Amino acid sequence: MSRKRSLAVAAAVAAVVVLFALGVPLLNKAVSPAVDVGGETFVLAGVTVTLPEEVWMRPGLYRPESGRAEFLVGNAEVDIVVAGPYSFDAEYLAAEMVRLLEVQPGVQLTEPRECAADGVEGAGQSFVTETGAGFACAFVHDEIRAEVTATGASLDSGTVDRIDALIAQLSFGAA
Amino acid sequence: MRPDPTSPTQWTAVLLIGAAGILLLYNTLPVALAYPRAGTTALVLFSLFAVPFWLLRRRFADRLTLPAGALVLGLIWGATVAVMSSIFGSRALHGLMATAWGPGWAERWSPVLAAPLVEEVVKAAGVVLVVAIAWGRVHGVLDGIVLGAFCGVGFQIVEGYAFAMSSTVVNRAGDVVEPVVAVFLVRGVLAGLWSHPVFTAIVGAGVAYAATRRTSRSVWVAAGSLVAVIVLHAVWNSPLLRDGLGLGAPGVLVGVMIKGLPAVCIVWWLVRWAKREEAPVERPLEPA
Repeated sequence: MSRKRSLAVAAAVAAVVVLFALGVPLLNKAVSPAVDVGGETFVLAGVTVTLPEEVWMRPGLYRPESGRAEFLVGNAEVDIVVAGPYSFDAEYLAAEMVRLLEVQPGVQLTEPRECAADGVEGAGQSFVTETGAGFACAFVHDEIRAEVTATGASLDSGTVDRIDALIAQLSFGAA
Repeated sequence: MRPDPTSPTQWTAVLLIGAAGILLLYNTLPVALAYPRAGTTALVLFSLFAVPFWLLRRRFADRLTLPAGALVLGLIWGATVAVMSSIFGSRALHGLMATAWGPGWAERWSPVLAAPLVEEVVKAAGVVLVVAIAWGRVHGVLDGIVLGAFCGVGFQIVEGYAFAMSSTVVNRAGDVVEPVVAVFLVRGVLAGLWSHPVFTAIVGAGVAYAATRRTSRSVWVAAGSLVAVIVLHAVWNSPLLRDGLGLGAPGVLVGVMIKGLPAVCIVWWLVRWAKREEAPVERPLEPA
């Protein structure tokens, strides 16, 4: 194969990879802005959450059938995952969340944290990352589990209060 | 196939595989460290995928001229560049669909419309790149089928591993192997060999046909093979027959076969066609 043709093939293949690995994600960021979902109610696999004011969400980050949603509270990302049936308790679930957190590059665990949803006490853990801070909360009720992970460049007390208000709205049916 | 510092195609392969390999390790290593038993089991089980395809290469040794290095390169491309590009691309297309038609619609139809397009195009790009690197060493369509299958196997190994580890994490039940074995039985035994290796083998046949015939018609054949596997992959991913028409496990099995068999039949026909139409090579490959 001639050098010119080899160069053309290399450029075409690189273009295809760059298109899908960078181009489409950039286009998605450009045309899929976060929308204000404050006050709206979301149902995630049997758990209902009514969001406080000024909570934002990108449409692609809400997966109702998978029980997943990611919200933006200030500069923080709040990831909620709901699934079931689950036969362990909230402490065990929190330990499982910590198991994954502590092997993430740059993550350091700090102190345990109190977490409270609507009528359900959970277990939690705070941590710091190379670029900010975060905390994880675990809840189990009637074999349904809910995990909340919040991360942000700067989790100031105002943002943390708003995230706690969001968590307090997690309702496990008859809880 | 020797390293050539002046080859643009070889540099492209090295740089893209290097970058994707780092990203892949960054994404998979923490989970593997957190769940060492599950991770080791998943890696061993899904690596077994490569065995039947290595035996396939030996079976057709008298008709293949592509060196083992080219097949290994195809496998590594499938396991790294194709996987990572597909993760980013499919996720972004999902986001675009959610913006346009709503999150529920996107969650249902993204696996049918986005994933097959991204995955098949990036795997096909790898096959084209390897054929360009090994230019002049492609004897016929069988070379392309085996190269495509290796590229697909690489993808399948990492995708299967990722699904198994994701299932372990999602279970939140500790470092246990049961979710890994369950995923291996479903995605490996029941559905594994029908999907990525078979799809990419069809594209490989088309690319090899174009590389050896070198006519404008053969280029259209290669493009057609890519479109065909995107459609086959979309049907495979679709919810069609997933419930087994309410007939339980036998119904699900029949559904899997109905959706998977067309691609397998095409590859079977292509192999027979190639063996009939293309002469054996004068100096066959040494058995690896």
